[in-house]
Amino acid sequence: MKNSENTNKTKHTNSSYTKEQIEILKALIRKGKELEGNTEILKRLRLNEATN
Amino acid sequence: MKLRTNKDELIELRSQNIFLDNDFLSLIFSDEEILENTVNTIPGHFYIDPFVKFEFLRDVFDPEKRATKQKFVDVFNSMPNHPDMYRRIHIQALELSQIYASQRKAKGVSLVDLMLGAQLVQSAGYAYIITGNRKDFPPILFDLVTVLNYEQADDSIRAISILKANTENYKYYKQKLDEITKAQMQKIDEDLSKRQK
Repeated sequence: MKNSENTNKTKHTNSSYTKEQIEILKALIRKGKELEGNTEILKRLRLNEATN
Repeated sequence: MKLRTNKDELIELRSQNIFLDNDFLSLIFSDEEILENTVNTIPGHFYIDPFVKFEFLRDVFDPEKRATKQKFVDVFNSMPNHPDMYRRIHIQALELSQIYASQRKAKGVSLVDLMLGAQLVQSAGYAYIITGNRKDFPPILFDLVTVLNYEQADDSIRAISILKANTENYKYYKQKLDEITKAQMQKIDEDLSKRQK
């Protein structure tokens, strides 16, 4: 969903992005943070597999 | 996390194209408040260069995280990825690196930053870049439009620059570089003809 495709949707302040797009971006940031822990666990698992 | 900047200096960016450097893209991916403050403060359209996208997505180990980052970057506009365009940018990026070397600036600048710098020179007048690495876009060729100051969780301030290409300076340094190159080429030709005798 590109910003140029959403010109008719509700704009959030003076931004080029709609409120909907900003909420999607924020949700993806939250998901990215949640996954940071998973990445560390995956790395450790892979490291253990390699050493065993 | 607060964002402080000079609102008057941001007027110039209205409806303009703003390229995101990878360090800035990674910064806005790290914090919801930074993202929201940034997109609500800067009036232009954000664009992601294919090389920046490559840097942002490379070496991600977890497939779910890779998909999350892909979806995040896909919300922004992508710059065209056409071979003819990249051929021109590639030539200009090489020239930029030679100008930097001749002026002892931006030592060790990455290929991606050279390509972005070349893209900025080619799109001068309607394109800007947001970067946390001002030294990779030196003042001899890139003018500072404004600074975004982010107050971080540890009370420190992170300064992010918004820059644009200075085409007059580019022409000046390019001409100087061409003169030096031409003189050196002649010298080598003379030297070669002497050796052949």
